[in-house]
Amino acid sequence: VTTDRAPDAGTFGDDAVPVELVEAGRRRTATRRRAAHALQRASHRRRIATTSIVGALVVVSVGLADAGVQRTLPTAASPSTAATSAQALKGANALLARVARTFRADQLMLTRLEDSTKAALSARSPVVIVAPTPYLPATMPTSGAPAPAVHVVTGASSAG
Amino acid sequence: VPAEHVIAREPITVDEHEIRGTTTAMASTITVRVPRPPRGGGSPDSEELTTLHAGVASSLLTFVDVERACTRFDSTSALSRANAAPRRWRVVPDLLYRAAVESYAAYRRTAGRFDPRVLNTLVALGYGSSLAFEAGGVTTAARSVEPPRSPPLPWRFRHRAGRRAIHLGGSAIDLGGIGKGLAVRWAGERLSRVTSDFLVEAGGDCYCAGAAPGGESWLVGVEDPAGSNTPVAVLALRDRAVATSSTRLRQWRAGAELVHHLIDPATSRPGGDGLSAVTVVARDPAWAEVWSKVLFLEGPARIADAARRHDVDALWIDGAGTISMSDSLGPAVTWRAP
Repeated sequence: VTTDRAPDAGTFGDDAVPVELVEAGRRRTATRRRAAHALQRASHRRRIATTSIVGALVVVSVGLADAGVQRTLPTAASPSTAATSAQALKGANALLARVARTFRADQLMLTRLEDSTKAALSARSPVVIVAPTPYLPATMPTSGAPAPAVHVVTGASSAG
Repeated sequence: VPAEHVIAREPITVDEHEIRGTTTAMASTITVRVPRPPRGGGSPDSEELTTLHAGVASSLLTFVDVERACTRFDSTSALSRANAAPRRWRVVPDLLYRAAVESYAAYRRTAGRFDPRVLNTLVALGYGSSLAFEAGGVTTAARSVEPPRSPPLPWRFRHRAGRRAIHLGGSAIDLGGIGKGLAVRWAGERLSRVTSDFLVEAGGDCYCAGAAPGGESWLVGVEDPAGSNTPVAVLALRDRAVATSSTRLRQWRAGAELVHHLIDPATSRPGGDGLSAVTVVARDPAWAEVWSKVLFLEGPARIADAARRHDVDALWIDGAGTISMSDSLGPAVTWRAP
């Protein structure tokens, strides 16, 4: 601030011009400085106000949209409470918690599967030698010969 | 823990030819077979063999998971809970969501000939709970079946992918057949991440990927619906699924009437009179299952035309034991009964 001088202040010496002119110049400079500060503050207020209003609108819109979605799925929504933003957040938290639990359960299952597999292979006990299945070539006679051994049979099942 | 449970109950075995895993799910014996790597996978603790072993275990788990979500025989399953309130939206497990959506796709593509809403008829015929068909002689106290609407009301199924929510459109559904086909598909998808050669079998439905041990095609026997031990035909397949709809096992006496489980949605009665079994070969296990059922319902007089019209590779056996097949299936048949 101390180095901020009016453009014309340096062109006048105090002893070369009348005191009235010097005072008038100083008043003009002060007035310009105050006007500049006022404009700057107004500009800041406009930016903050615009951002706040837009943000509020977004929050309200999301809340309304979520409430609409909740209404279209009655079985998934709480029937006794309105779908407010706070409840939407609570529901989202609960959903995330469920997802996290599912992931943990999956991870546990995979870990146990891996352990079980390693144990089964290292123990060699499950390595059971079954009677080798005869594998016959695909070019077989279509009649007059006994049915070839097959890998699998398709037919009736006892239940679906 | 399912993984330990499956492995502990039925150990995954490794012999000189293959890795084989077995479990029981969906009232069927599930078998997964993977040819053993010819070289490099020799030692039991090799990384490749360990990976294949884990892949087999993982694919077996698929059936346990699908059964848990999609069975109608467990009142606590996700499907049973959805069926209990078919006029409401319900957020369901991912597997049930996908199965229901696939089921609706099949309903649309077959113009309603595949319709999982036939559950109501099955229940009315006394098949509301699991029945001991293997023992034979099953008898139920059937209720009278409501006369069908002509044509049946469209199925107003709706779903929302983001929330995994389904609306059954007012009717309970049965995902038994297509559920098994989907389980075979999903198990195969898991296995295909670790190998291109494998076989997944689930009580009559199967998927044959790549080559069998020894490098040959997988050989699939088509069961004789009359019950003999000799197949009526043998198919050599690679990268193909097979499914069979048959009345050999699941038929019973509902009151005084002999009925079976293949219900025609147009009549709300057991359909396909004159046919004993239909086998379909397709790229996808779930669609093989769907088409085998749809073609069965066409009956002996219309099945050939329907198979041609829908471009389905099929083999069927009528009540007299006569075997017929679509021309397009011919190259896959390596043997047939004289």
